[in-house]
Amino acid sequence: MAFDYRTPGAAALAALLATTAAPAMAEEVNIGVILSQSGNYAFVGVPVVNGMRLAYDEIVEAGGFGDNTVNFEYEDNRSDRAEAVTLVGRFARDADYDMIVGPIATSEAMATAPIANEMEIPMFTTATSPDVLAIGEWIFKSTETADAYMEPVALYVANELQPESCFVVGIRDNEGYVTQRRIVTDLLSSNGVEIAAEETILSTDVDFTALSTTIVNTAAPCLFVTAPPETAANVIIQARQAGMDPETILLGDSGMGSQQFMDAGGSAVDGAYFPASFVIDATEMSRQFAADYEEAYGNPPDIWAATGYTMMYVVANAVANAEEISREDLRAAMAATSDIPVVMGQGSLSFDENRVPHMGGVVMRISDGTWVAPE
Amino acid sequence: MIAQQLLNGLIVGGVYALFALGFTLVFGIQKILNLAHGAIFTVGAFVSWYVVSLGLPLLLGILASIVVCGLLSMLVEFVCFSRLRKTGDEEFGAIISSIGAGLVIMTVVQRLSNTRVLRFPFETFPVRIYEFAGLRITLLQLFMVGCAALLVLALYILIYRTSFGRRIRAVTDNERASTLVAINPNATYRQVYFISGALAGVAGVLVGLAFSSIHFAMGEPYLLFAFVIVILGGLGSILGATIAALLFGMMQTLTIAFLPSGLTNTIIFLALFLILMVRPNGLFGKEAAGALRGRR
Repeated sequence: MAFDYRTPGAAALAALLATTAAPAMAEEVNIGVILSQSGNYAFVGVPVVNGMRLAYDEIVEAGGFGDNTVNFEYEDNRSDRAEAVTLVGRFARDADYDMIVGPIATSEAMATAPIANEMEIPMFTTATSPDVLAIGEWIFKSTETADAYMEPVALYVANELQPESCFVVGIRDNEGYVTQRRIVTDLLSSNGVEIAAEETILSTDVDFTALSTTIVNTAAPCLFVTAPPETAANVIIQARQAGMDPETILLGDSGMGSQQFMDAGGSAVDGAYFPASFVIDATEMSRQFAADYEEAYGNPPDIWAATGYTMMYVVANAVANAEEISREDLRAAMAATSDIPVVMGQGSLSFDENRVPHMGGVVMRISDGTWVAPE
Repeated sequence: MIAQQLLNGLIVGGVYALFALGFTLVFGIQKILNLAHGAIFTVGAFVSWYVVSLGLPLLLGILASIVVCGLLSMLVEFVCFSRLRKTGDEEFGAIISSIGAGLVIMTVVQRLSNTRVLRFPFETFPVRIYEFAGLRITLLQLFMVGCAALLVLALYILIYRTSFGRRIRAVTDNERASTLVAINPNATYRQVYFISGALAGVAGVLVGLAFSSIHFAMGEPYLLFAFVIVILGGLGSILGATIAALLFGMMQTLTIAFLPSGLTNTIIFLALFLILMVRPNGLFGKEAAGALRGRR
């Protein structure tokens, strides 16, 4: 099998596939992709799809799907859980489809995973909550569990910055964010940071006037916000407009590493700390990916673009290593994913025995509109 | 803390008043529910955002929103209502046609904005905070309350203290009789729609500034709020809508601040039911629907 990869990432995967790929007949693989291109979670779906398409072109060019022809059908569930359920049902019932990529949100994944598991089709979601994996062995996720990726940033704030107290704000209509809020709240309080108050909002809320007043009056030296990036930015903007101390330590989830968060928040979110699973300058592979992505789409990749790129390589690895192209063999190949070179975390991805992905993460800070490692 | 939240509620209520007044004005004069009002409000926010994003002053953005939304509202009246009005049975048809107009406007805005959530740059309005009597008020809030107060007062004077207002009230009382005193009802309607749209446009800009979130569907919740406000205040009553909007803003802010999350709408609608049980025509409503009617 001859590979001619353009990027170091693809080259690394090529080497892996060349040594591990199972001999298989050339077959057609059909994969349904359900990712929101509009609505609340478009901030995830658009870059994930961009990253997937970029990786797909590289893999096809290099023959990385083995001798198989892999077709991806992209569908937009418009950030709507009901539409995600319908689409997963459609792909799962159609015997021509071998795998599903998506949906995005934990709330969507929790609603759709039982269908995929019941109908025995591998589903590879970006959901953050580990609960989705408990639904069954057919379910895989691309993001590390919240306790893994939130821990470094929560401990950094608690142990290095040492605020006396922290005001916690999180959305309550998405299980993933609820889990992140619980984990950070527990980590902060168990490391000596008093939780000054804990308020919940809806992801569709825009009027944070009352909340901002409470934040200002509480005068906690730390504000933790876990919400979709534009909502989180909006909470911080309105709190600043209401007179929040400019020195307040801002802490958030991985969404703060998205371009949308920085575009939405502007100078108001400068200084925010967040967990990063993707740092452009982490490796040569991630630098090359960032350059290719920017050339293709005109803007630098964010964490979700890197996630999409990574997911495509994980799928390619499974397709290339499956004994045969069947739902069961693809599931087994996905579960066997180990040390795949990726552009995220510490540079390689493995699923553990519970299908939890492990990549490693770092703490980052927004400074003058860019992401930097804290001093 | 309570006083601060009440102040916040009054300011938010002032913006709701601007939105609801345009809505109730049209109902007051024509007994028509213009359900495209939320979409016009959305256009107001977008127009101002585009002007500011071109590097032009915010004030120019507000003026552009007033003009564009006023004209758009007149267009809605021309396309959706003017022909229906001639049938004499326009109330139900107007609901359907204005829903259609609202959807068309929202779809155009969605396409133009690529479904993005837009926001004014953080520095568009200087962050200055003033304190008095233990209360904090920002420059933006002062601007919002100033705009709202000025426009509500101007509308009140226009309706009740000018010859134009008398024409509006004459048409409201009896369209046919008004023509006997050389009033052109169609022209009057168009002017009322312009005012209604302009108020929605300003409300859109203020909401966009205050809440940093401008998107194609932003008008929908405000339309629901406007329903509550105009019913609470009494259909067609300008004074009623103003007071109801302020009460609504305060009630909303206090429930968010002091009650468990998620109870806000429950409390507000419960209060609405209770008030309507005691006063079925709203706080200031008159049975004949339209407090504009009968004023001399």
